[in-house]
Amino acid sequence: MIKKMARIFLILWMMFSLMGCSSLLTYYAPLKSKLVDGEKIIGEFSRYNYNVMIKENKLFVEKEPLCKETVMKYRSAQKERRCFSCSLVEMVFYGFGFFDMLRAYAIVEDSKKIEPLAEYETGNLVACGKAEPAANESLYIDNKQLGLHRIVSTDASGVLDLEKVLYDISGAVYLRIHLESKNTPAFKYLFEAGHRDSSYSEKKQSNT
Amino acid sequence: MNYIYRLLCFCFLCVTLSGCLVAPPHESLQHVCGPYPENYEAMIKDYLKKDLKHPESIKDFSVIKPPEIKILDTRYPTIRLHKGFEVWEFFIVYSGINRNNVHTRKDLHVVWIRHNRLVAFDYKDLDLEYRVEERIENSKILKRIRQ
Repeated sequence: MIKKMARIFLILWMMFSLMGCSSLLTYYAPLKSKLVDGEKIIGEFSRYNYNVMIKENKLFVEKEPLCKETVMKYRSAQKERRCFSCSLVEMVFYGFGFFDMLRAYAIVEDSKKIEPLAEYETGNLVACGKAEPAANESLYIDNKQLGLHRIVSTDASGVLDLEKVLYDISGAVYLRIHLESKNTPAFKYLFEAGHRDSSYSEKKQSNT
Repeated sequence: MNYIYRLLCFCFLCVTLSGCLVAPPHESLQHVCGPYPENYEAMIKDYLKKDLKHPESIKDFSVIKPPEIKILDTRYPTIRLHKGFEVWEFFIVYSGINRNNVHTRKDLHVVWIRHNRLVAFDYKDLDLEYRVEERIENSKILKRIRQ
């Protein structure tokens, strides 16, 4: 009789002590904060990315605007689910564990908090507009052997005719061409005066 | 039985005494966050030097929000801060090589200061090694002041 009573008491005590354990502990748990990245925003203009294409001694210069990429940083805080194993024990013994589990989950979901902190530049540059012809863009044309150094500019449609600019050069000459923009690397081009073959050469410069 | 009792006592002593070294300073019990941290930039740079695997890789370091008082909306058990406590909060941005030897892009980090002492980095407790070093250095400074 005493043994039976003790057993019932123990079961009841276990029921009361374990019932809702997970949800109760989760409810009283503190918020756990972490940093999360938000949406990426296109910030202010930084510089242009130049694309140069050469066809039949003609340079076609295009420029594409690049902007600074900014990101919004958020503080994401939510409660941590506690004592998940308690709800499993409850589930086995009394079947209420499922409700406890759900309640704990709901508490966690309910406690979610997102707080904006600050917007900052990631250091990346992203395209923020259409590529357009680089009109009146200055270019440097060099050849050390010939002592050639010329500063020329593209026309309104971003085209530079090397035949016109280098009218006094005859034969084949290696040219070092670079844009005035400091961020643009120089490239070499074999200029053949008066030679208008159908060969197609392309030089693309990417600064991203 | 006597042996078990002794072992238990020894374990208890070890556990209790091990906490003494990193016991929170008395200021940590105060709600207020202390005076404005004038040298906050030097403090965080010093921390990064000790904490990062490749401190020389830090690039584009900048403070994007100077210290401002923030009242905590929850408790942080690992940092030993409670709801309603004040901290000086500021944001820094830098890029560098992380612990996995991967170069990371510029990222924002949240730093908390209380009573001219760094208490948290990205809502996490600082490294134990740094805290112990910092405590020893502070006690040396205090001794010098008293002398």
